[in-house]
Formats: sequence, structure tokens, C-alpha cells
Amino acid sequence: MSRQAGRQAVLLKLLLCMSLAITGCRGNHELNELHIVHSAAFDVAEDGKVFVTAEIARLTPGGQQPKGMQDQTFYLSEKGNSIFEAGRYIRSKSDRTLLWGHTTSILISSQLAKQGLKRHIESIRRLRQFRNSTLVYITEGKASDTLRVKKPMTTITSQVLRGLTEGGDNTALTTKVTLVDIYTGLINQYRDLVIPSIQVVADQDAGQQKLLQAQGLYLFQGDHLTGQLSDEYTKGYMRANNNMIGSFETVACTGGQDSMSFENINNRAEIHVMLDINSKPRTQIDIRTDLNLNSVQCNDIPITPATIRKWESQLNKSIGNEVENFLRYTQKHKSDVLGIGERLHRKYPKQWAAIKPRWRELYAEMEVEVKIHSRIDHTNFIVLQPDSYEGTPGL
Amino acid sequence: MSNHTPISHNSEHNKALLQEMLQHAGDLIISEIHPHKQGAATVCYLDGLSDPMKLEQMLLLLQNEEGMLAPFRQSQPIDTLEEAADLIAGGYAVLLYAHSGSGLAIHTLGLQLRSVDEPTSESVLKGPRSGFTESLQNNIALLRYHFSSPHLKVEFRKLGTLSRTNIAILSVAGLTNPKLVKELHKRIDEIQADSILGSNTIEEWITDNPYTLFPLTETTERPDRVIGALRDGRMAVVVQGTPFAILLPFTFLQAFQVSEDYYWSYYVSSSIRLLRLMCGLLGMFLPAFYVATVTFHHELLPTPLLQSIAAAKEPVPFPAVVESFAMMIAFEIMREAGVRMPRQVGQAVSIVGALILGQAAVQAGIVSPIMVIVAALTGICTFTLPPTDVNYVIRILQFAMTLLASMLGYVGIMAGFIMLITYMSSLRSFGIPYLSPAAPFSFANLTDVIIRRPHPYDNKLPSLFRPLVKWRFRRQR
Amino acid sequence: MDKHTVISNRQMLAIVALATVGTSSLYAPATLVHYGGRDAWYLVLMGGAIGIINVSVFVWLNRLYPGRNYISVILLVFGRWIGGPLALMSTLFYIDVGTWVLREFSQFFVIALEPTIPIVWYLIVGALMCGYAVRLGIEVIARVSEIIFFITMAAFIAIYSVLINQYHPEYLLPVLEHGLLHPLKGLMLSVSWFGDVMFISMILNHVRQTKQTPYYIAGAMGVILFILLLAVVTCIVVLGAEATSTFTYPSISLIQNISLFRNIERFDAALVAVWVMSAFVKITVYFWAGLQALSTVFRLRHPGRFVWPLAGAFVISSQYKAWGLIEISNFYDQYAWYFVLFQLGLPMLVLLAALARGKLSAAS
Repeated sequence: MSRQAGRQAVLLKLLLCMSLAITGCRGNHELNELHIVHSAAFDVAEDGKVFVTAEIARLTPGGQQPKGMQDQTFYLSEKGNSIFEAGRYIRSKSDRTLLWGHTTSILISSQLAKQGLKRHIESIRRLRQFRNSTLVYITEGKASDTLRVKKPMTTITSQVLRGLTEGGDNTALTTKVTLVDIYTGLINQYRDLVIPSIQVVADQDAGQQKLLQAQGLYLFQGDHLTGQLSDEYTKGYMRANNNMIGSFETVACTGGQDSMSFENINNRAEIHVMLDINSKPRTQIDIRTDLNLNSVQCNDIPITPATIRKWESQLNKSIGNEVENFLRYTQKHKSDVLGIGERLHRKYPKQWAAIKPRWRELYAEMEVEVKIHSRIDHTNFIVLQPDSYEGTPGL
Repeated sequence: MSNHTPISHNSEHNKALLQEMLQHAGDLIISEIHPHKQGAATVCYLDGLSDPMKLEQMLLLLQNEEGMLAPFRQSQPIDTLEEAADLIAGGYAVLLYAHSGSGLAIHTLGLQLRSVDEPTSESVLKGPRSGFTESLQNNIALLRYHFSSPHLKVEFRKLGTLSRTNIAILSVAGLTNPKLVKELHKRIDEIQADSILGSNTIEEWITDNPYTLFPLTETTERPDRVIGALRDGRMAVVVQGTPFAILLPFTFLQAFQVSEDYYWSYYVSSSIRLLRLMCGLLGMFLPAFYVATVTFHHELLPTPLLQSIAAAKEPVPFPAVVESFAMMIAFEIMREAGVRMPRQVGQAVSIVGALILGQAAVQAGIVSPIMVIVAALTGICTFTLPPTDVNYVIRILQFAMTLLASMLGYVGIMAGFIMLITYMSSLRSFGIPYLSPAAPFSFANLTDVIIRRPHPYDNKLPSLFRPLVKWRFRRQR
Repeated sequence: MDKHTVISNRQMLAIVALATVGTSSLYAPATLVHYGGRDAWYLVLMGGAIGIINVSVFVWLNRLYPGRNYISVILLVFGRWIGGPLALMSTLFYIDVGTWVLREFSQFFVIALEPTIPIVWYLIVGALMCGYAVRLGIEVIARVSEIIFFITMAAFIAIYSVLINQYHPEYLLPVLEHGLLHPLKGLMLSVSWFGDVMFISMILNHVRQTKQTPYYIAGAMGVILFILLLAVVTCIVVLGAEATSTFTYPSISLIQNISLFRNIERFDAALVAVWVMSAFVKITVYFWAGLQALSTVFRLRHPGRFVWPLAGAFVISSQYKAWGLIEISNFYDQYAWYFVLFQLGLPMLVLLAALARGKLSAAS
């Protein structure tokens, strides 16, 4: 190629490149053209459509240091036939494009959950924007009201909710359920769903103020809401499902109204399933848990190995009751949250094919045996009761 | 101009011809002396170029015994007046014997040049601090001092039809591949430049591909770097009049090596080398990465960081691309200004630069603070690399990558990266692929480029440059 | 062009591994799990076994006719009248696969990154990159592939290691629930993924053959098997088999699960870059193979001149090939036999004919 032709080729290539750049590009969004959505709430509107509320950060520029997650927020809502449609309609109320990719929590009203979650979750999952780790909650009443509750400590609701969920590590009263968990749970059908609940409660000191509380779990059958687990049942679930990281147990003293409190530091559960000859399922759950003594309100009890053993048997009974009550509740609502069916499938693949259509009925009638082995490890920094020195002469 | 005027027997005639050939130069001194035994000799030299002490010594010897001049160092017989003119211009003192029609040229070069000093462009913490000067003789001497081996082969050539610059080609006999040396000589033969101003002139003539952005040869001011190159089987070209010697062949990954790596312990050197490689990558891709993330892929950032960046970018009217170009150009301006400006003004200007870029621009809402951080970090990253041309290439490519990132996001950056590697893989420096030892892959060589092997284990020569010898030494363990 | 360039064994391994598995690790898990359920790994292994047979056919052919590429072997074995059309069809097949991959990946970028960018931009950028690499020759392609091989393998291993605490190995049970034969319904599909290794037929005569070449080829197949197995198994144990089969790109959904340090997530945008590189290698290799084939069939003297027109043809063909993504996945599913025909069927035919010819000429 001659020098001239070579130079012309280079010029042509340069022109092409520049034209690409100058004509502008699509698909880019500058940050000052965006609103960042932190939480979303889904409700049922009056005419049966979906009502979507978005919590958006109100950014305040300027100042030496950015405010980070302490910014104020505002809310936008719209209704539509599906979540996607409602989300797009919200754009007509917003002066900027909404960035849904940073949504940290999703609140769903129990009414919507009762109608069936699957199509909504599928709609969200189809979009690329929502994170897999978005936390999902169910709330009684209208989710958009829950979203708008004024929070005393943090301004952004999603951060509050996330913090509340992380509290489940200590209390075992709530658990972390993400979007991908729900989606894969609904499709895989290995077990039924539980979704943590968020309630609006009155703040005990400040009177008119309201607080968000994460307590309890909602039970699902397929993708329909069926029941709600109380505190006790929630703890039972967390134990049986091997999800518990830390919790507390209270046991009454022998005779009387005083009680002892233990801190639960460890929990391991093993679920054994078997099919007997008549193809009836039986489950045995072994739970081993470690606890520490935290407060003893009963008087005059010296702490000896015998006492420990007595307490342990008391704990076994009390924890066992918790777990059994929880299981019976799920059986009543025909909700297989522990995945017993799937375990049977894995262990007895051939028989499972036969009993699968009747599984929910079989689950309701299934025999469950719960064995607790609790162990009290230590009593923190105090071992002896101060009363044991009472009455010693000469002191 | 290739006449061959023989030295005539008429000394006046010689004198007139020489005056004419040297354009009646004002500093040309031609005088007759009459040593004892022989006939008259005409001494010709250029005033400033010749060292008066050496001249005196030479004349003394002449007065006493002419024969003793012959083995005098760096004397060569001359036959034609053109040669004589050439040598006089080169700093020799020429003796013309009219009666025998022959001449003798004696090296008396001694002008005031810089003393050996620490090289300003490449400084080290721990290592020799001698650097090349403008005198070719000194430089060769310095090299021989550091590498006192009889195997060091030094070949002198004169280049440039007008400037007649001396150059020296260095290689190690028995180590350097003779094909490479032959190729180098061939390419130097093809140089038709009229004057050689610096080593870059020669570089551009002998390089494989003069139109490419990437340097295919390397220059250095340090003798220990030259020695390091020679012992690996490379060649060096030292040019008179410039302290920068040319090292070839050159592969891309050598731009990340400094001589200091061999003077610290191998843990330290390896970590710092890895750091340098990372800085090279960062220097090229960080602004592009930032622009792509903030424009296309907002989900990648953690939410608190995104909030902060969004809040900071609120008042800024320009898109991230324009911001980033502005900051990178501003940084380049500062850097170039820093090189050119006189020392006295330096302090004031740097304060102004920091103020303008750091505080005022951010507060005026022209750029966002995080862009300042990104641009500054990128700039600093490129300073960790030794000052070869690759440094500047990385800076130029920053802009291209940022542009691509603004068009297609990460896919654009990747496309740019792939085209870059493809282009670099197709380059060769004296027959050695430009990206070796990364591609074609050679594990043994790559470990010495990315990390450094301890000296007792460094017993193999890198096969990159096809040396004649494979082992430095045989391990006794 | 490329008449005498030679690539090393290691470079061949890099090219073969990348071009086969770099792209299929992205969407293969979905269809494989669709057919095989939790036993998709079994399908991968079976497909791999047939893939090894596939590769041996080409190695054997190369051993019978060293120094010749596949197309010239066809022309030699079948003569000009039958071999000509067959060779031409094979040439068009190479180019066809290249356009399929180009279209597939542009679609992927559009879905995974930004739906509003017109797909033709990605097509043009892809065609430009690959055309440029093909212009520079197989040596450059081989060197680039080496570098990309390391980066891609490191990225894959990193992805699957970071997810370790989310593995649920029990999702793989029960093993082979429906017996050994039931999952094999998807065998044709699996073989077509592995059959992508067929371009080795055009490269093998450029490789500097040593005694270790067969080991390197086996090593390449091992790497391919390992990566595909890892992709499929990880998808199953993290997401569950049924959910995996519903995702368009299970590997991307997998990457979206990665969460580091409580806040850093959504690496899929960054890791898409890895697939850009693999797709580049695959398209370039098939582009080059097509160009080589074309120059062999028509005995072109300046193949370099055809690169840019061919690149333009690539863009146009990819743009109008299929209506949308659903068509493409449907095509891969239903018409897997079309791919297998050219990848395995035709070469076996050629091999048999070559052996027969050899026997005939030995007998006579």
C-alpha cells in the first residue's frame, strides 16, 4: 500500500472513531441524573393492582464531608399491573431516573403475600438491577406506612431494617432472607419459605413515636402466606434449621415466679428422616446446644454439678417443647419449612416418586421426635453465691 | 566530499588546504615546529578542544624523540588531508610531516565536561550513584570500571555525515548472540542522518518499527543498568555528547525493572516489583475504571460510597468523562511545567497548583473531589516506574482507555485492553517478541521479571535474548 | 499469510481451552441442567468422553496428512467434485459458528449490562477487534490467547472459590435418580458444546509438533472438562438445579451472589470483562479458521485483503441471523445436530475415507 493510501486509511479510521464518540452514547447515566432507591414497599391497591413505594435518598451536596448514609429520604409511589409497570410509572413523578440497583430491603404487605408472591418475585428477578442480596420482609398492614415510620437512629429505612435483621444473630427472633433465597426456594421447592416480619410498634418512652421491630417469621405454603410464627416458634425454627447463632433461654425456678436466664451460644441440629414399611415418614431431630448461665433470681442455690444437671434437664424440656410446638404449628398449616420432603427425596428416591403427590397430607400426620441435649458450659464471672458465706461466725 | 587529497610535501600547501577544509575556523591553530632529528612538522589542533597539558607533553616528546610518539596512546597514522580535517574536528592534534608526506594524529581531547555525578533522571536509594556524562571516553571507562572483563567488546563507529559523532557498540563476546550484533551493525550502516543530536536520533533509525507508539529500545543514564543488560545478553550503544546510552533489544516488561531491584533483598525487591506492576496497570486503567463505574455500572460500588460520590458530584455540571479528561490534562500540565520551570519559581508554582486543583476547583464545583483523588493517584502511579518511554506511553493510553470507557463501559475497557495486547504481541524488537516473557510464555523468565530470584539461585540466563551461554554458574548443591 | 508461522504446544492448549469453554461456561449450565437435572455433571462427563473422540479424529487426520489443514485434506481425499462442495460447506460452517458466537455475546452484553445500547455497536466493535487480530496472523492470536488464558482461568477459579461458603453439596443428591440413560437426552447438546474444539483441525498443522503434543491436547480437553464441570456443579450446589435451569445466564446469576465485606457486591459487571476476552478468542479463532479455509478452497494469494470484507459480512450476518435471544437458544437446542454434523459427523467420514484410501493405495 502506498504511503498516500496508508495515510488515507488512518484518517478514515480516526474519523470513524471520533464519530462514534461525538454522536454520543446511550446507556450511560451520570450520577447527578439519578435518584438512588434504598427500599421498596409493595402493597395491594384498592383495585387489585400493585402499589409500589420507593424510598429515595435526598442528597445534600456541599460541606467538607459527605453525609454518607445519614442523608434524608423522600418517598414516591405509584400503582400498576405489575411491579415493573408501577416502577416505570413512578418515573413520571420523579425528576430523575431511579436507580433500583442499590435497593437493600423490600417490604411486602401480608395482604399481597396472601395473594401469592411468585409472580412478583419473578418479575423482580427478571430485571438485572435488583441485587441478589436484597433483604425481604413482610409487614402487617400497609407496607408503605411501615416504610414511612420516622426512625430515631438512622434516617434510611433500609439501613434500619438491615440492622434489625442482623440482630437475629443475637436473639434468634428473626432471620435473614434474601431475594435469591426466595426465588430459588420458590422454584426449587426444596422447602417452604419463611420470611421475617417487621411490625410498627409504639415506642415505650416517647409516646407518640413509632418504632420498627423485627420479631417473628411468616410461614408460607408454596407462595401463599399461611401463618405467623410467634417468638417461641421462631426460636424453635431457628434451632431445628441450624440457623441459630445466639439466643437466650429462660427457665422458671422450682416453685415460684422467679426465673433463670441462660445465654445460648451454640446450636447444632441434625434431622434424620426415615420411611417405615408402610411408606409413612418419621422424623427425629437431635439438637445439641451450649448455654451459659447469666442471671439467677432464685435464692440460695449453690451451683454444683447436680444443680447443673437439673437445670439442663429443665432446659431440655423447655427447649423441646418449643421445637415440638413449632413443628406442630407447621404441620397444622401444612408448611414443610425444614425441607423434610426433600430429605426423604434424597434418601429414598424411588419411594419419594410415589408419595410426592400426597406429601402435604403426609407431612401433617408425620411423627416427629425431638431430642435435646443441652450443656451448660460456664457461669460467666461469678460462680459462688454471696449468700453461702452468710452466718459464718467471727466475720 | 570523499576526495583523497594526499599530504603534500609543501607544508604551506597543506596549511592552506586544511584552513579551507575547516572553514578558516578561528580556533584552528596551525604552527610549525622543528624537532631535533627530523624535518619540520606542522602541528594542527583546535584550541578549546585540546587539553593544553597533553599538548605540552606531546610537544616535549616531539622535541626529544619523535619515534616515541608512535606508540603514544591513541595515535594513528593518516594519509589524506580529509582524514586530517576530520580528526582535527574530532579533537585530535594532527602532526603533518611534509617531507615524508605522512601524518600522525594524537588524541589530546580535553575539554571541560561535567564530572561524574548522580544521574538525575534515575536515582536509587541503595546502589552506585555514578551516572554517564557527555564524554564517550569517560562513559566507556566507567563501564569498564564496573565490568572489568576482557570479554567486553567495544566497537567504535562514526555516524552522521555532518556531525561525525562517535558511538560505541558494546556486547559481551561469547555471550551475546552474534546474529543480534550483526543485525545491529547492519542497521547502523543504514543510518543516513546528517547529524546525531541525542541518542533518540539513533534509536529511531535502528528501531524495528519507527511508526509505533511503543518504544522498542530503551535508554538509561546508569552504568549499572547497562551492565545488567549486557550480562543478560543484550547490547548497548553509547553515544558521544549525551549521557543516555541505548539498550537493545527491549521488551515491554523490562520497563518495570530498575537496577535497584538487585541491591535489596529479594523479598523487598519482589514486593516492590509487584507493586510497580500493579501501578503500571492502575496508571493505565484507573481513570477509565472510575469513569466506567460511575457512568455505566453503578451497582458495583458499595451503597455508602455511591451516596458520597453522588453527593459530591451534585453541583458538578460536567459528565464524568469531561471531568476526568480535565483533571488528567491538568496533571500533565503540572508535571511538564515542573520539569521546565527554573528552581526558584518551583515552590510557588507547586503551591498554586495544589491550591488550584485541590481546593478551589472542588469548591467552585468544577470537579468532584474523588476525581481529584483518582487523577492524582494515577499520576503518582506512573512515577513509580523508571523513566523510560513506556512511562509516557502509559500516560497517553490513559486517555484512550478513558474515552473507550465512556463509550461502552467495562466492555469498552476490555476491548481496548485486548486491542492493546494484540497490537503489542505483533511487535518485535530485534526479532524478540515484544511481550515476552508473558507471551510467548516462559515461566523461568517470567519469575525473574515479576519477582526476583535470590542471587545464589539466579543461575540461568534469560533465554529471551538468545544468548550463547545458558548458565551463569552451576549450582553446587 | 501464515504459511510458515508456528505456534507452541502451550499456546495451542490455551487457544483450544479458551475457545471451547470460555463461552459455553456462561450459558451451558442452563440447558444442561434442563436436560440432566441434578445429574447434569454426568451429561458433561459423557459429552467430554465424546469430545475426546472428536479431538482424536482430528489428531489422526493430522497424523495421516501432516502439514495440511482440514480443508485441504477434504479436497485431497474426496477430489475436486465431491470434496469441493464439502470443503465449501465446512468453510461456511466456520464462518457461521463465528457469527453465532458474535451474536450470542452481543446479546449477552446487552442483557447483562445495558439494554438500551443498540446491539449493532457491540457487533461492530467485536468485528473490528477480531478482524484486526486476524489481520495480524495466528502467531499474534496465539500470544494474546496465552495471556487471556491465564486471566480467564484465574477469574473462574476465583469466582468458584469465593462462593465456597454458599455451597450446599446436598443439592446434588440423589445421584442419578432417574438412571443412567435418562439424562442422556441432552447428549447431542453436550456434544455440540464440546465439539467447538473442531477448529483445532485448522490449527494443528501450524503447531510445532513435539512428542508432547498429544499430552497437551489431552491436557486441553482436561481443562475444558474441569471448567465446564465446575461451572455446572457450582450452579447446582449454590442455586439448586431447578432454579439454574430457569436462568438465562446461570453463571452471571451465580456471580451476583458473591458478596464480600458486607458491602461489595455485583461483580458481574466487572467479570463480564472475562467473558469479553473469551468471546474475543473464540470469534477470532473461527474467523481465522474460516479465512484459512477460504484461502485453501479458492487458493487465494492475498488472504489479507479479505479480512475486512469478511468482518463486514460477520456484522451483517450476526445482525440478521435470528430475531431475538429466544430464537438463538431454541436453535442451539433443537438444531444441535446441525453443529454435531459438521463437528463430528463430517470429520469421521473424512477419516474413514482417508483410511480407506490409504488401504487401497497400500493394497495396490
